[in-house]
Amino acid sequence: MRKKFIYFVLIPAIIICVIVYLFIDSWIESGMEYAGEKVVGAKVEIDRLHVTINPISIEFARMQVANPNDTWKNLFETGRVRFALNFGQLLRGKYIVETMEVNNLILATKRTTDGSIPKPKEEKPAAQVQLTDQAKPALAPQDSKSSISFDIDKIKRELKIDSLLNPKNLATYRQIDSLKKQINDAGVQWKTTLDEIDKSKAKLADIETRAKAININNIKTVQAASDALNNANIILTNANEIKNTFQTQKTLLTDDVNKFSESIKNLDDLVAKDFRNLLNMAHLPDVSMKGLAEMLLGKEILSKAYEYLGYVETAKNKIQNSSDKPPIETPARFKGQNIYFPIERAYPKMWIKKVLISGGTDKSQDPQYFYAKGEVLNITNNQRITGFPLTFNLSATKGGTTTLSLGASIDRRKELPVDKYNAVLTGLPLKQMSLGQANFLPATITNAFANASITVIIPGNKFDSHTKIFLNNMNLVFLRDPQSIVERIVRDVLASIHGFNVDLRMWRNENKFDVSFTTDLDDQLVSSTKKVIGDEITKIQNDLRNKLNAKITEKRTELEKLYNEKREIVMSKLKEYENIFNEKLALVESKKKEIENRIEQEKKKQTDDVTKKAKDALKGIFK
Amino acid sequence: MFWLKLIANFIKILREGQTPAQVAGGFAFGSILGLSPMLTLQGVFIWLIILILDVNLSAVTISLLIFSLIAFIFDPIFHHLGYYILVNVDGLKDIWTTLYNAPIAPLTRFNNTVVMGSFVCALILFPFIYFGFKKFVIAYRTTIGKRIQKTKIYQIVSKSWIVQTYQRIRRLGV
Repeated sequence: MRKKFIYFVLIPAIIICVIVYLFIDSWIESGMEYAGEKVVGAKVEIDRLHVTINPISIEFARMQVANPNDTWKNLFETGRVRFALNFGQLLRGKYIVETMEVNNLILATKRTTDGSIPKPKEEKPAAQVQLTDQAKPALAPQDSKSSISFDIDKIKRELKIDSLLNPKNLATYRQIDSLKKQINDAGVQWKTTLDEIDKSKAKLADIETRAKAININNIKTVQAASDALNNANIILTNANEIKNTFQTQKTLLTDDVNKFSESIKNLDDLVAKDFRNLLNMAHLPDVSMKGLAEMLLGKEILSKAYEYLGYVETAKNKIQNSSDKPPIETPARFKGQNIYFPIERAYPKMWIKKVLISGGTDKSQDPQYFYAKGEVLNITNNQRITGFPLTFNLSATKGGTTTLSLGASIDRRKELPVDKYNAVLTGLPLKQMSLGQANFLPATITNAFANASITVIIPGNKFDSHTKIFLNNMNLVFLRDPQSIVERIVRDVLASIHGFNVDLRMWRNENKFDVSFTTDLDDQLVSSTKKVIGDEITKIQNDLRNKLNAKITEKRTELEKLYNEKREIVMSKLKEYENIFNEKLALVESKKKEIENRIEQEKKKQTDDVTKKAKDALKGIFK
Repeated sequence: MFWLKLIANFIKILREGQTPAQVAGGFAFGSILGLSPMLTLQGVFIWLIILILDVNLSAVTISLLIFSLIAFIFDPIFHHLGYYILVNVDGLKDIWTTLYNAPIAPLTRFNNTVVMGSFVCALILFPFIYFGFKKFVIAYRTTIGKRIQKTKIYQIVSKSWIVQTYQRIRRLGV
């Protein structure tokens, strides 16, 4: 054996093996922590990881995953975790785990250290609109409502209707101006078309002359009559061609004219929109008072909804669909891009078939945390190969009174990804929940119990979630005395109840994110509030509406006058042309009829002559 | 000192000692190692071949360094070439799929664009590097070496402080 082999290969190889043996645990631990942190965006800590070679398995004593939104809390932490890798597949470069055991899964535990990590610059794909970005404005309508005043005298004092009715604020005003311009431009086009139709008059005069030139009295023979008929047919065909051309032009012109009629009708919708806009600008409350409960409760609930939406979006983005032809990336130097070549019914690059989670024994449970148990199935990088969606079913309990069941299915087997989540929470004690807003009945709910159920479906880019929350056994602490009539009414209503329901639906169709918020508190508040201030608000709103209508009507009349004038010109001209066409056509047709009659007469006359001659001949024979 | 010794050995080997084929072979194999990313199965395989074939190790090391630098510069081209071979050549897809699902083969990381692109380049360049460098060694030993020794730069460098110090240390070591 050559010496260089010993010095350069054998000895280094032995050294490397020793180093690997000594440090492999910490390397894999660091690698898993790094990979986890890249996915979660917060610290992932693994304690006492140990790798065994036969069978190849990994075990660690504890894992903490920090919550990226609250880095002093964990998303979850585990006790002992153990899993074995399939050696045969490892030789193929695939990480296949049949069953992973996770013990003592605890949700939302407190951390002793900050779990934040420096955030790398993340480039968002420009084409894809993020769910949370779209949801943000929809989930924060309270900001505008918070400025709504319920002080009638103040509203009256500060309301400047004339300045609100500035044409700049009115979309209807701008639309009318635009329509006027369009009608004037179209009027020029209509005139050109009418002039073209007018040119057909000369052709019609020619047809008339040719028709009159056929003199019925000069037709003496059947042949002459037949020639005249052919001539009449040619004239009729020409006349029909001209009429068809006219009919086409008439249809186009009429459609074009009527199009504006539709646009003018649509102005009513625009006026209604303008009115709503003016109400917002005037900070007038909705006379139905329907938004009052949303104003009271929405801030807290919607901000929570936005937070959970972030988790849903993270899951949606992190679990990607596999692609047959991956797009080319721009990797770092020497990193390259891995291209996968999976086959059906084979193993994907990574597949954890089952994760069994146990929540620990009752004795060791801390009553302030959720202890979860259940199973997670089919965690993989390519569901199209495994043929199974990622599913999980967890049930968790806290302090023996609060239960949480969480289920999900994340399906990436087809081109359209479908995510489904459902969660049911019962008996959650709410020690404190803020209510109202800084400028409207600030209060706190104490010692309430909440039950909630949430279902979320995300097919592709659509999104639909239903949340039902029931709060009971609640006490209210108001942070200051009521400062308006409405505040007083709402306070009186709230003081007499101990629970209420909230239904929150959030959905996205195409590119619009919407939120609907309903609660049984509304009905109670509406009836009480409307009695007191509803009439005054209605009066102010009606005043605003009347002035808006007056302003728009003036402008609209100008538009309608202009449109009707132009329309009248076009329609009367078309009517005139149509009469002329019909008249000329009737003339040619009557001429044709006369010729046909003449032919019949000639034929009859000739038949009679032949009959008479035959009779005379027969008489001569029999004499 | 290791580097100086390495360069000195390399220059020495250009002049005399192992055959031009051994030196060129070392240089050519070093180019494959240098162009390809580290830690691949084929890298280990190339090292084994180097040791079995008794090629010049100084040439391997020098070549590895030079071609690693070249690989860094041409990395984006390797990435695009690898992507093209792996994704756009439909005729090869069955081979890649078989290899990907076979044991051991995935450990070559052939499905990585840079690994594939650089390895293909290295294989294409291998015969050119080998024969080109062999010619160079022969030419160096017959003509170029003498010409270089006569140049002013060589005279200055050989009498420089660094070279003198190195030679003194080397003599002490002997």
